[in-house]
Amino acid sequence: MRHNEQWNTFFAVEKDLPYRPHMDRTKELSRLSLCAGAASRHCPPLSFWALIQKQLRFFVWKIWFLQGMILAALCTACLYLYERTSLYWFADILPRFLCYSSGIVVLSAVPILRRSSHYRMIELEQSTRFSVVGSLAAQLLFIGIGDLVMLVVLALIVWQHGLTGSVIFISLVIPFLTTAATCLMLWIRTAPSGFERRAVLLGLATTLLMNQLLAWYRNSPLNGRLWCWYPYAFLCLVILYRECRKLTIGSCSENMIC
Amino acid sequence: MELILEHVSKQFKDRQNIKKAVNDVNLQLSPGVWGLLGANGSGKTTLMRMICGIMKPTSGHIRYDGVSIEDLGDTYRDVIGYLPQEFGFYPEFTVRQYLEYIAALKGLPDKVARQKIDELLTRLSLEDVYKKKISKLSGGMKRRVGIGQALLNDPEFLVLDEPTSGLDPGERVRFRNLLSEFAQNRIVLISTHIVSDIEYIATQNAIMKNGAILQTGSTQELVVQMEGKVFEAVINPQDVSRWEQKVQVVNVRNEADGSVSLRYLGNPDDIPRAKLQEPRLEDLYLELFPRK
Repeated sequence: MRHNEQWNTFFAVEKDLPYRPHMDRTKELSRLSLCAGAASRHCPPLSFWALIQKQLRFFVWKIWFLQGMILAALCTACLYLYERTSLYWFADILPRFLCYSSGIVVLSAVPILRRSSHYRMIELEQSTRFSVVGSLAAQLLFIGIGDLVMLVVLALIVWQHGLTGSVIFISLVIPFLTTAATCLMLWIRTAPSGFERRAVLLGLATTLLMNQLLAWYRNSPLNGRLWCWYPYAFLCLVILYRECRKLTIGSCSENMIC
Repeated sequence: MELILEHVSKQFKDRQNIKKAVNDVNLQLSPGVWGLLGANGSGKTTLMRMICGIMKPTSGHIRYDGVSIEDLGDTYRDVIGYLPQEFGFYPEFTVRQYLEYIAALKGLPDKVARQKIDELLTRLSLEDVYKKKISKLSGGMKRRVGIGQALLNDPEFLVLDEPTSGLDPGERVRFRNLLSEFAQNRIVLISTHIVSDIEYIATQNAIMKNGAILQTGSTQELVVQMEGKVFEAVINPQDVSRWEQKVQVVNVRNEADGSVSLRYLGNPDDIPRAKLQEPRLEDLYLELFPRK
């Protein structure tokens, strides 16, 4: 009887022991033990920003070279149109030219983003400390910087030819954000084998749709009301942020491998 | 150091079917060389991808020293080295650039990376080609570069998927010696179709079929079940195709006198004057995965 009471008391106490913190502490100690093992062989590992810096010499010149070539082609096309068309027609087609250019700027990233899967590096990269996320995050960062420069140069050129800031925002920035958001969503959800073709089709479709939408906007009562585009731009930025976040936490990497 | 797989399964869905690539695998990997044998499509690569954290299991757990590898995250990837079956590379990279790139992704600081790369270039006999583009190398040299990248972070757990494909016999021997030396106090998991590679160096084996583990054990433990089932008979060359249809042939060897030695699985009465042979792992492999 006494033994039974002792056992009952023992189990009653055991039930009250918090399991979750104990498990968390066990995991933490295991991680520290593994880190100590690794640290005994190496110095502290590279930080994420040190990895980004190292990626500069591996990839950035390729990315920016490609974007530079595309930008040069777009600027040449713009100047060609300026010289060969009347000012009236030029003013009319310039917003459309900007819309299509924004799609081209987004699609210039496709050959870069498919490299990992095309050259079968994605599986190897995924098994490393920074996994495929580190490599892709670096590429997206450099691509983003290049895209920003391309957009600014295009905006400056057309601004010098008489387009206002609001028209540039609606014709260049809004289609760019829309196409970028849809292509990024596609990239994260599509197997590598189908991405390139689908991205080009989606990019073209989105650009055409935006062009039609902007044409409608210019002829509608909303014309001139720039404020109605702000929530839309904000929504696109939120989508871009969320998709980039999904990428960084690695929840989509299995799609990229299979 | 121990890696435990508990009821690990992985299934893939396409539009119409659900395919179970790995089916309720239970395995306990301790230090030493583990051979993972299985036919094409048996689930070896999927299992290895899950072990490396590249894919998540549909169900089950993989634990390293008692802790789930998902919880360990990048700490776990610090201690593994992986060579995939389809080993890729960016074509513009030289050997050295490639190793530096992987070293950066593995989080190795510059100084450590440089030392390790120099050491591996020597050990893998790549000192003469380190400035060459990988696309210009032979298949065997490319494979050596792949093995080199897996060893960069001095892993505690090495996972190699078909590591010796494309290597000539001399390179395979060198590779086996490298692995044997490396495997002391480490876990090395190798999947291969070249049974002789496993036979010489694996301390433990796991045989996989249709996504499940059929058997595990040392080479001796596995091979003992084939005792009394492996025979060799000398036949006429023109009878080879006839016997191939009647028995499970392991090997056909042309003799100097023009006859043919046929090694087969079955009974002594299947072919006249057949002699009992010492079984090998390859015999067990063919018993479990017969040629169609």
